[in-house]
Amino acid sequence: MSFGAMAGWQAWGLLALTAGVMSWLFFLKVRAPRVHVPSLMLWTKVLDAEREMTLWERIRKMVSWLVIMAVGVMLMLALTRPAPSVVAAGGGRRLIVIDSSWSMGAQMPSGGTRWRNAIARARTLIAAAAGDEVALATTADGLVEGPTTDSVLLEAALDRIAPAGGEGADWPRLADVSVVHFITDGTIPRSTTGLEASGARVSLEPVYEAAANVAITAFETHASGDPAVQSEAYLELANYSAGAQSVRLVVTRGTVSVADASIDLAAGEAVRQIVPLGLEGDARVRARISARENALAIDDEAVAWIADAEPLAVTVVSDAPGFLQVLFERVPGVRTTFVATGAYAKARTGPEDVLIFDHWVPPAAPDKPALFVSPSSVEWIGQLREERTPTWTTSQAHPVLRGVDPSTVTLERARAAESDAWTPIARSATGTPLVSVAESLEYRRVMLGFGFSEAESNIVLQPAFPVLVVNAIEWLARPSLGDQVRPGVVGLNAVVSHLTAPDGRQVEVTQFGDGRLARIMTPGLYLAEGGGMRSALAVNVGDPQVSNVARTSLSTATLASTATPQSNAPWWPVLIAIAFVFVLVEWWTWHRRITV
Amino acid sequence: MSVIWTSPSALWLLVLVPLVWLASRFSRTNFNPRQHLLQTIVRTAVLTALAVALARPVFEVGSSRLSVVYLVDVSYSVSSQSVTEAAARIGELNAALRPDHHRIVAFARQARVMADSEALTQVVSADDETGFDRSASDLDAALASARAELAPGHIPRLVLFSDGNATTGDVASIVAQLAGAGIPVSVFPMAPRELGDAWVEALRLPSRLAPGGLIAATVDVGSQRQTSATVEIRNGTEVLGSRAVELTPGTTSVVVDISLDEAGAVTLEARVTSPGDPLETNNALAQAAWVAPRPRVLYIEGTPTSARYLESALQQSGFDVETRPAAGLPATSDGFESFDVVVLSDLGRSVLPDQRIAALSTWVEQFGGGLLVAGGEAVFGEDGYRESPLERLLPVTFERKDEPEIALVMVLDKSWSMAGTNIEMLRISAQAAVDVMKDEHTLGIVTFNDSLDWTLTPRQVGPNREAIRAAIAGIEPSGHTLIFPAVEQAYLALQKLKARAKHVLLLSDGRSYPDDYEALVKKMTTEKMTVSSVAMGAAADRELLQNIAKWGGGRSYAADNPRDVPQIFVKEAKDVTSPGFDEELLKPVVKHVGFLAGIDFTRAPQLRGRTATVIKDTALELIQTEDEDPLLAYWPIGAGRAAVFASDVKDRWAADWIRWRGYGPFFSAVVRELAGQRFPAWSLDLEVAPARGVSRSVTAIVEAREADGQPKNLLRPTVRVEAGGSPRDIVARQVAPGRYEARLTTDAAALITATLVDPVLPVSAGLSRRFIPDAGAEYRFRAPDGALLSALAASTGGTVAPDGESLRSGDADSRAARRAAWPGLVLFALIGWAADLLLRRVRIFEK
Repeated sequence: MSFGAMAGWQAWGLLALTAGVMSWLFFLKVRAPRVHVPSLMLWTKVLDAEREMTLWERIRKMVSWLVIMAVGVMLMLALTRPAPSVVAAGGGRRLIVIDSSWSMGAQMPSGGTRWRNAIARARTLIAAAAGDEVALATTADGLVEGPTTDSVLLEAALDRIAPAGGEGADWPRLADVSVVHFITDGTIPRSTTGLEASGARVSLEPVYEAAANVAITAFETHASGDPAVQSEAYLELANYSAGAQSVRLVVTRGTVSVADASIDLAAGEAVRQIVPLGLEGDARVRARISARENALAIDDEAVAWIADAEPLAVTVVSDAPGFLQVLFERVPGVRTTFVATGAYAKARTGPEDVLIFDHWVPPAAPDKPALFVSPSSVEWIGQLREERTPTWTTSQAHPVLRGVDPSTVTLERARAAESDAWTPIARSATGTPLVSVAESLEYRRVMLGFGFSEAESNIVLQPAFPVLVVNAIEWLARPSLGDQVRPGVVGLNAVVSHLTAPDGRQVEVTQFGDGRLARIMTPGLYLAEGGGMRSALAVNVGDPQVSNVARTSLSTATLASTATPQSNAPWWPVLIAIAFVFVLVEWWTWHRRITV
Repeated sequence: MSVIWTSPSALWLLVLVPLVWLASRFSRTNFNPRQHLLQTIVRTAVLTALAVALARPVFEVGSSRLSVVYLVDVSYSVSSQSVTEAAARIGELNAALRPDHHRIVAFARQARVMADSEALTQVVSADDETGFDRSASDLDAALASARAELAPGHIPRLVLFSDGNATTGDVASIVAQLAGAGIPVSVFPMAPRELGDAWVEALRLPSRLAPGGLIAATVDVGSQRQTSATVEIRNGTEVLGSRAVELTPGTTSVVVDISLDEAGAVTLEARVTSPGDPLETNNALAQAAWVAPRPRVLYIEGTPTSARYLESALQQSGFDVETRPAAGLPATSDGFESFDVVVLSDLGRSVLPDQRIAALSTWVEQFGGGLLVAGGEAVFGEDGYRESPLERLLPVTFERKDEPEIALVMVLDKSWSMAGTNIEMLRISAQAAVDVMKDEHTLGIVTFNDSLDWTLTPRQVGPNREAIRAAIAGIEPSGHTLIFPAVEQAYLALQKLKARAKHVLLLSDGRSYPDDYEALVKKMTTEKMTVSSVAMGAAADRELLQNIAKWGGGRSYAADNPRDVPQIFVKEAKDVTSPGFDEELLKPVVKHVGFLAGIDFTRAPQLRGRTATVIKDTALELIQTEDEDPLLAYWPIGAGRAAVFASDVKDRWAADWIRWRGYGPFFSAVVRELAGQRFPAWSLDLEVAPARGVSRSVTAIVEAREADGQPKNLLRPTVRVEAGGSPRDIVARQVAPGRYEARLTTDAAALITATLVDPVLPVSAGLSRRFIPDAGAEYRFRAPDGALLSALAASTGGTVAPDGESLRSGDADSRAARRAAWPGLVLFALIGWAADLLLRRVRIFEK
């Protein structure tokens, strides 16, 4: 046995001292209450007392003494942090890197998980460091603790960490490190060349034990965009076990089940399926599998989000909404309300996702995503610039302009605001903004510098009309957050101010330049909000390399070099737990005079 | 201060603590009540401390101790002077801050802890012997290393001195980690090295490159002095274009026009050469580009002998052109699959069966094909496209904007040879022609034998239909044949008439005396009259009649069977009364530049004729005549696009255009605009992650789509990847509908080429993508990337150019140190246990 907090002789000395103090306290004679009694009675009492020291009383006293001693010694022993003896591996600063790939969460046939073994191995390494500086890192989080000689901190850090991906992350860095211990199952191959190049000795600490697993290795949906054509999901299932397995697959769209099947998968087999999702339904699509031998849970569920599935509520504020009215009658998935400009209340809180202001701008900026068509002059929108017969000459690559063919659009006049808040994405030959966007964490706006009437443009006659208006509404209400992502550092649309994890926890979102970053460490459907929009980000593991926990990239020699780590949980919590029970029970027995 | 509960479930033990008070109520001990209470309180405290200790709380507490790690960029692009200044600034900050702990980390390709600021300046001195590799800037790794140097339990501060021009690593990743850990990074921008150098900073290419056409490539050239230079772009050893430029300090953007002959992956190299340039390493920059396959054009020409003009113009502009006769138009939409654009030129309605037009419509509207219809006289007439399925596809209707005033003179042979069936057919034919003429048209009939007779002097048809019918019925054969005087009479009569179109229809079955017909007819054409001729029977002077029609700009007919004549007359009457074309000199006027930007129409010659069309309401008119008739109209239809060029594309109406320099660019711009609407069946992209140390991860993304844009699923495309070593074939796995990925890790310095090679896939062009790492990135002395440095500071809560005061302040201090609380709690419980025992042995409230 060794002691993490001090040298062995110090620990033994303290334990002996504690035992001594406890014994001394225990054998202190309790002075009886002072009472006036006749001397005969006193002597009678004394003689009775002599008579009561029976064997049972002696045993009772001995047990009481042992309990008192045990509590004191256990608490002192806990403070010395005892652990099984380890061979001190002196030799300077060391870095312990734990592979936090999802595969480390695999349940092993022998019980427990690879992760549990990795933590046990780390504890042993920390104990063996004995006075040397140790830093603790994971492949997902980078440096977690240290470098420090305080093993309490390191052990506390070990209790905090958990598998969290990090397959693509770089090696954690630590200058002047003499040895890097990499605790891994080898499921995700990693080159240690970079570490070795820095002069450190790399010690691989394998925690691999083959396990059987079934997994969803790919899941993504495709929205057809055509109301007459149904959406579909692509799904890949794999069986990474030595024998055939029957896998139950359930695909749900919202609360509606769209597929529920049992699939027989041969050993090592992967099946690919196209799941039709119907013409309409919930935006949330979820696939879930279950099987008898299934070591990893993280890859048993996958999610997707069909942004187009949820209808959009649009309020058009216009005194002559004719063209927009005709347009929205033909656009599926949009519920439209028409409001005259005079009826638009200043502080309204309507249910709409997007407001459209046609040839009119409210005196106060709206707090919802808004499309302004040929805006009127108000102070907050900026200085208006007008041009007769402008020619649409320059267009940026922007989602609002995707599929809009400017060569088909003839403009009679343009009127648009110019200010730092607006970013023109299309201009006339003389520089008049024709389409501008504005976005921040608080708002999201699009401005068309031309109207839809014949006196202003020919756009209503062109295919560009529905494309431009629908693009603008989509961008305002449902901006693309990017493709389906894997856990890790995720770049987000600049408008995202809040990201809510599936368990309701807020994920920290960091502004970096024009975009935003978030560290998403667990799979699931994340709700993204900002600038009046709400959308979702589907995060899945979706990686055969992670899910195939039946093989390792570690060499046989490496696997053989280290015995499977024994459970190396700290002893002190056990000691304290026993002491807690003793203290509680002893209180009762003492009051009842069972112990003394 | 905040608390992290490592095992919060242990707090459930606290529910047992009230048992202490319960037990004390049933006590048999005889202690004074006050001591009894004290004993209970102490026991409660001991148990509470033990339960809380089992929950393993970790306190994050504030600290007044400051740990500062100075991170100094010593890469080659940073001036030595800046490093010296940074060393001095570190001294000043340390003097102002007096941090409890500080480190100096120098970084370039790697990071290294420096003993002191003197060691820092030594790294950039000429006699440096430390062997510091300064050929790259890895800001990501440097920040990670600096973070590891912070002393635990201290207020963390990173101070970065850098130009912000990282050449390797992923700064975003470390920023997220630092922000999450509450470690602010303050920044000091560093000045670049000053050598008086010029270098290529960037090569910018259009997003879509096509072979053959001109490509405007922009080369951004950086310079630290005013100098003249030559900028060139090469493809291998071949110089594609070059320009002499005058460079000023800063960045100069130079546009170089280049042209690429072949489709596929190319490596373009921009190079700048300037006199007295001190550093060669940064004078070139290579960039991979993908030249899309040549768009394929199916050219159906009604007059195959004239096809060469447009065919060669398009080929020279980078199109693959397949020319076919009308019969070559595919009968099904699948037949158009291999083409991007179909050009129909001067095709009569009769040669395009409805089934083929339906197939063409499907291809255009559903599969996004492009269609250009060019005019010509065959496009119109009796069997024109008015109200046809083809017209529905096009942005124009085949009609006249206004019906012109028409004057038609029939010059008819009534010699003896016409007696019998011929004269009968002549009367029927003339009458049928009159029947298709409109009321406002003018008609005259001259009949001739060896003399001539105005059977009907020119007059309006409407009020005189009965008189005309009677006059025609009264034509009787007599005498010999003498044509010339009759034609001359018709000419003289038409000369006096006011009409937009004047036409003579000459019919004869015999031979006349020779005369100067050519002079007469050419005189007529100069006065915008046209002459058509009908040779009736084998005895007619066909050669003469053909020549008359040719000179007269009309049509000649040979009718062996007299019964064919009526339909010829009807056709002529229809054509003349509702002509589908105007043969006159037309000046093109640009109405809407659109995709024709860059074509100089000021030097465009006149066209010699045009098809009569009227623009549809929703179509776009790009070019028109001075009379505002459409010449080039365009519109999107369904998933495709269609355009009509109302003149022709060959040596008849466009005879002057084909010699114009703008002829090729004009039609290539039109055809290019029409192409490109179709979903590519396959696409390949390379997603290259920033280099991490000596490696980088690469993902080859393959997308497969049906012709209608829907994803192609359940395939196994193979991608061949070459990255330094021997090529590897990787089967891309499907990850989403229509999307396939092949992932691998490569050497960071390796040139990566990915090619779609699966032989079973119908990939005609062998899609390929290439990534070329910039080995000279460190030597491009760009201005400090202030935006990145500011973003780095803002994201982590740091500041730009901080002083000592701002470095010390900050809201991240409350989490500076972590303390595990359980040892303190256990110690407290141990002392409490001893106190508990003492309280049970000593009566403290009793005398």
